[in-house]
Amino acid sequence: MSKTVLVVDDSSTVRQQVSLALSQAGFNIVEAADGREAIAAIESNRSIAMVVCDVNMPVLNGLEMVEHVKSKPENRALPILMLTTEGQPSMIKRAREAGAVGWIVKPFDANQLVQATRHLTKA
Amino acid sequence: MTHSLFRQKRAEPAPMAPAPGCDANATHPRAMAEIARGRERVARRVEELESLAEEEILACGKVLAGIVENVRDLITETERTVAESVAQSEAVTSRFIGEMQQDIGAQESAVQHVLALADGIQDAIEAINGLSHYSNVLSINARIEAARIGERGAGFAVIADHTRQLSKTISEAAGRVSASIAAVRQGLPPVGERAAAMQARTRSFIDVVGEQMKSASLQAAMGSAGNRKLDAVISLSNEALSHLQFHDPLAQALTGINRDLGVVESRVGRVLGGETALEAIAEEPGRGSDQPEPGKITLF
Repeated sequence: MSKTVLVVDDSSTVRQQVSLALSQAGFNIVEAADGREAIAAIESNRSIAMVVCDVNMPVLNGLEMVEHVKSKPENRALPILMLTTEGQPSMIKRAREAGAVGWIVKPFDANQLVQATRHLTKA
Repeated sequence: MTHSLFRQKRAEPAPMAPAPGCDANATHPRAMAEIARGRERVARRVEELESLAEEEILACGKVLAGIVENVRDLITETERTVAESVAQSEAVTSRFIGEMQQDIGAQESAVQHVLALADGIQDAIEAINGLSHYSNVLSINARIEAARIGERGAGFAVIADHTRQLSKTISEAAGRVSASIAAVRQGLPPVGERAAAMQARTRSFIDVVGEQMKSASLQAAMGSAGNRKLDAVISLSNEALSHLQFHDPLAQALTGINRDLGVVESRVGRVLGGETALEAIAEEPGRGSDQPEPGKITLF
């Protein structure tokens, strides 16, 4: 059965590119345009096996979203991979401490993203 | 893979405040208004360009998805067609083999039937030969008896001659029939041999077809080749996706143009207001050496 990945980014082009790469690799895709939408998606769809998330987003940014999601025990095992233009060590540290499993600086290599997603979802 | 345009998202710098006592809006209102209008026009163009780029990138993404989907459909359709063809040829071949075996069986039965009839005719001929021999003996005895009774037996002698003649005719006819039967018997074995050869060829044909019917491996090989091609297409599509990720850097570059125009507007105002000592425009900070490279995946 295909694993479901939640793609969170305020950029429609990035969402499309990530979704396309992962769906062609056999993943089901759910999309969200900001942190709040992402939280709603995670709470309503328990089949989500992984989250690929931007940092700088309107309404609720990616780091705040990770902190919120990971504060709930039922989400401890949910892998969240940050995909962002940001590369500041302080932000990376904050994401790691919040419970994110990895960090990719855009632009990403779609083949590597697929490999990382397979690894993290054990697909 | 990196984009030269790529920059980190960063906050807009605060607009430069005019120096105290240097209000260009008051001294050069038309010039400042013209600059402001120009900046607005550039901002609109920038917005249009960004929007156009987004639309085009999304369209390219859809095209890529369509290509991959079509290749996937093509491979699936080809595999299905091959499977159907193989199943069809298996059915036709099985029917052909069945009919051929039936024909061979019927031919063999016919030969056996003819041989059995020949045996029956031979038995009948032997019986006829027995009768012929018996009538011959009868004619000889009749002649002896006719001779013994003299002139009164002359009529019997004539009957005895006819009887002997009849016996001879019967014997000759039986001989001819027997020769014909022998010829038929001689002719029949080659028919059987041909049937056997035909059967051998059929078996050989069945073996060949059987090999072809191991088409599961052929189909698996085709499926494997198809999947390899699909993987290659997906990999190329992913590569294209990587190249399509210029929207963010483009948007950031355009934002930078807007910001720079704001700075220029502010500085022109300051110059027109009489300020002469302007500080150098600060360069945007580059990516620090301790920051991860674009595209690199760091797993914690």
